[in-house]
Amino acid sequence: MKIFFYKTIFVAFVFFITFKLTVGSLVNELENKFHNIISKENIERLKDDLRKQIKTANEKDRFINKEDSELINAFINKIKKDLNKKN
Amino acid sequence: MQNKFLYSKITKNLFTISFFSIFFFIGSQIYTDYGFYIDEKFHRANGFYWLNYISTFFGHEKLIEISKLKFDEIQGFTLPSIQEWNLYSIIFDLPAAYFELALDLKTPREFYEMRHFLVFLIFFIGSICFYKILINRFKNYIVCIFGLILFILTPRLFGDSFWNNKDIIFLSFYVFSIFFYFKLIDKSSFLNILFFSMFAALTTSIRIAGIFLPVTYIFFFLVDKLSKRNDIKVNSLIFHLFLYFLILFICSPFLWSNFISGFLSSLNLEMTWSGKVLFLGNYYPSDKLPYYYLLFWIVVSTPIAHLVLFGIGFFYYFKRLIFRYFNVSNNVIYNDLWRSKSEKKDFLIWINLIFFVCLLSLMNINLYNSWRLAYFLNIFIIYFSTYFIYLFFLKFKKKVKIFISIFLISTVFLIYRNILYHPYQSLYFNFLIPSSVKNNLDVDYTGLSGYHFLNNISEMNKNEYPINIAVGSWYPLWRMVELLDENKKIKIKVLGNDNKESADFIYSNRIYDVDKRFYKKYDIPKEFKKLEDFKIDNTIIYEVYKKVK
Repeated sequence: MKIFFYKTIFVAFVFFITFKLTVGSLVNELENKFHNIISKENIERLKDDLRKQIKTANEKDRFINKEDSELINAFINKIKKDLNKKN
Repeated sequence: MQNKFLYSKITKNLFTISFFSIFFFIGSQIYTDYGFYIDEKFHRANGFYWLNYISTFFGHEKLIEISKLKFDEIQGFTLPSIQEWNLYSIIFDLPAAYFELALDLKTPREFYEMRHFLVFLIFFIGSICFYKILINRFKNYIVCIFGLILFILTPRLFGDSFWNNKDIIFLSFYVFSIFFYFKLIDKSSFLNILFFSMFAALTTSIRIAGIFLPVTYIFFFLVDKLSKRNDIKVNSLIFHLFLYFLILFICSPFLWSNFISGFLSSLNLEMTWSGKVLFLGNYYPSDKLPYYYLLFWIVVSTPIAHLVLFGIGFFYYFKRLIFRYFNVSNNVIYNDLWRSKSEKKDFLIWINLIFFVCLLSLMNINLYNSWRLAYFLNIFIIYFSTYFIYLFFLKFKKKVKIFISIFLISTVFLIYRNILYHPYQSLYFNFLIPSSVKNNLDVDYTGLSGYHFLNNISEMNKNEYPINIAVGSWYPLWRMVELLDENKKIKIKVLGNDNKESADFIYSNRIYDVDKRFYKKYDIPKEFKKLEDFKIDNTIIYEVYKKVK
């Protein structure tokens, strides 16, 4: 009975450590990654990136190339036209 | 022959008494050198809150009035409400509040210095008990003195023993409990059970981790029964558990109204920190730190001599334990994990160490502020260090003199390192750690440097009035102003972090509750230039910025 008791504790302990260092650590890593994505810090970083991009865009002579601007213009006009349709 | 033995015993006792007297003398001379930490005001308030509660309970009119007055005096706009955070232990705070009244202390510095002295006194008694633990186990006077030197000269604990009223008190009470546990292993008498139960309960009331003490007692009881030994009787166990819960109930007034819910809520206490922890350059939530956080901190902030001795001592003990494990027999009583009482004591220390290291590292428990929540592990670290010294003295008798010489040299080096860090031993790193690592960790997390900074800045700017100081980190510097001398106090005006532009100086202890790389709230305005990096051993303790006019 004594040996059984010790072995049970030993196996449980080894299992726990192995589980924590393998599966547990993987789960922790995934949790951390998920937490980082939705964290306020990441949102701040995205805001910062966005600000930088807008700043860069403002500094350029032409931000959108001619073909794209014509395409977007036509698309916006199309949306406007559709929105103004009553039926 | 008998005279020689008596003479040797007297010499040893005289040396031990002198050793402790010197330690006490040094402590009593330097305890005022240390800074004040951010939670002291809260704990002072906690003491008066419970003093008022208990005096009301017993109907002591005068004490009710004075404690209420004192409690109401303690104000601070960022101070947590005691009514909401009333699950902290009274073991230190309540007697400290009472002594403050009994000694009729008037100024804030007197209140806090008295508390610091009280922390040192408890640590000092803890050191005596630790020495007694070592004597009880190893019975070799020089070995135990060496163990004691390692214990006292652990820099982070030495520094904290002059102000830390949580972790050091818990560590000291854990030592008291282990001391009586060892006595209980030697002799299961009524008095030993009583004292062990009492100190285990007091330890648990300080930190819930103390509950592991009765748990190990139950574990030993079960193993005893399985081994058909009768070291622990059923009556002793029942008596111990009854006393333990009774004393725990008496010393935890927050359990008086509802034991179960109070006990359950105390499980989570202090294990929460909503801010971020800076660890090796990255900011982590305190419950999502890497598994190696605790071990890493122990390694970087413990002297190399301690680590080496502990490493070898632990290895030797573990080897023996593995050997014992594979030789356990159902039929032979003494083929067990331990063979003698001494080995049982070693096993007790080993199981404590393993349990807490695994629990704190692998269970995503909130950790922060280096390894201060686990400072009590130092008891076990030093125990195994002493274990190795003991084995060395036993196995290599011819080389003992060489060992003693090396040990004494490393002790001198350790004393030098302690002096180098003074009064910031609490922020110690061992000499192998490069500054690139040290400066990517939370260092002055309890704000010990705030008081010294305010004193320095007011002395450096004697003719300026007022000196506007803003805080560029997560730290309530304004709590330190009341501790200054009157002439300095009227000069200093502390502004919050959101009012940095109006300041003359910005102070930062480099502790942030958010990831500083993405949040701008702790950024230093452009009109400020760095005036000073206060460093010790290349570790930045705090930074000061000055407005360029």
